[in-house]
Amino acid sequence: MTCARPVKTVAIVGAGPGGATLAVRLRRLGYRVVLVEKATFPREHIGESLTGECAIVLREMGFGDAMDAAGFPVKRAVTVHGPNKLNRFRVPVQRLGEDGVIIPGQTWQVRRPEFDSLLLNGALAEGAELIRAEARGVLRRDGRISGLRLRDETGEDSDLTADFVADASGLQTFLSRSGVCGARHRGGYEKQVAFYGQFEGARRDAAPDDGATHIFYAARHLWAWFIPISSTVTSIGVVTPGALFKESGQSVQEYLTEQLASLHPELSERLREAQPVSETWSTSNYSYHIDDFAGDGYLCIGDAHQFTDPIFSFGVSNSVQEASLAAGAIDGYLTARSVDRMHPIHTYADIVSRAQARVKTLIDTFWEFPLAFLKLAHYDRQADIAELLSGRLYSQSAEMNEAGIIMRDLLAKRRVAGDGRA
Amino acid sequence: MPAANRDYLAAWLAAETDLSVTELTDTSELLASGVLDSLKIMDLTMAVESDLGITIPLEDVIGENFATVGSIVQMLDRLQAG
Repeated sequence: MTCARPVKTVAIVGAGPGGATLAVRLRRLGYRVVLVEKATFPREHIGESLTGECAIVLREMGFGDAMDAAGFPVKRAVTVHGPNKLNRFRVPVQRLGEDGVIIPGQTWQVRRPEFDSLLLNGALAEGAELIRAEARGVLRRDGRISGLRLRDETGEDSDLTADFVADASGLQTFLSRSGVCGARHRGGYEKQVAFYGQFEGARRDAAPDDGATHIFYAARHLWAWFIPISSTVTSIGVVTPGALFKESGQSVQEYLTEQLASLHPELSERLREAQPVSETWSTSNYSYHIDDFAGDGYLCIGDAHQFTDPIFSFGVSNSVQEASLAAGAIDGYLTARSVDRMHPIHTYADIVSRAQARVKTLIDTFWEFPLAFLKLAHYDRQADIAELLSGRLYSQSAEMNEAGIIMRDLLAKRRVAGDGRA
Repeated sequence: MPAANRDYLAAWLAAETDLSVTELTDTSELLASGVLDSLKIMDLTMAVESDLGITIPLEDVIGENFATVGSIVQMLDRLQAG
């Protein structure tokens, strides 16, 4: 039986990977989708490394061939290098094969201008609409969100009526800034800032590992990434506690150059022949999370509600997975299949909060108990850590992950001892 | 017998690292001097578990406990007394 019902509209703020994924999913469920994006694509963006789980989601959505054709480096592993040269561990990208057996997997390192355009064009091909404008605020009717107030490039204001508003605006945190969500909690990770650029001539691992990520850390919250983004270009950046940069009195350029030379001997060795082929960029990496990020007629995905030290490259991976979950939640809300219309939204918030807590547990253990983390990753719980680092954070199996439980208990003991923050 | 743990550690260090037993004192720096690195610490935790039957819980796998001969012996004695 089919019943005609008016097509409902979902407005999505932000047309990055999260917004585009949500748009694709909702179009396939039959919704009218309007993406609101103020930037003209392609545009630069940081966060080039994907996880194994992210690759699975992209293939499942039908982007596999386009991703393969784009010539993005294949990532099969990440190697983490600690303060001395022998302290390193390699975590392979893994996936679940048939019969639940864990087998080697792979994913991509992406050039974000191309990758983001590829996904956005995919969403447009599915029939999503794109409005080039800045979202300035939300519209309300009878207390409930009923759309967006927009301003286009010429300064012209207009209203967009929608049955649901999704925030995929990333660090802009549009719905939080519009006063729709709850409190914004900042802190942890010593107010990191990131400095980065693109280099040619950086020494990579031998094939087939030439697309591997390397992470180097020197001290608490001070680390560098090494991410191949084409056959010749490598994205390299330093994330540092803000205070260290301030104390140095150096320019962004000087600080990056000095850190790349001094942060880790293997990093400087890999960069001996490297030449910058981009300007030096910088961004604040202040961690935050936002309460009530999903409610009556709205929800946030990815960085729009939580941002944590990006050391394990969960950014795009989490956005894409949350977008996939959000599509189901929005569909459930708008069709009111369940007795309680809010039930799908609450379920979304619950699954996402649990996954984000796992991210935080993983990263906090890495910084607070580096030796214990090494022991888990390299000896005791290799497969579990590989599972988490492959980005499988939203599933039932993540709930049962032994390493995850061990790390949570470890941090809890530390907090009982009075040395940590809740 | 506290001395047993110290003797075990001295023998392990002599066999597995560049440190000679004659140089050992309780305040011998193991981490700062580079005698132990994190992978050696992993080896030691596993050797201690199989040879002495002492399991070092993760919350004790921290740099402070492996800084000197004295700090390792103190940890082993504490865990053994457990």
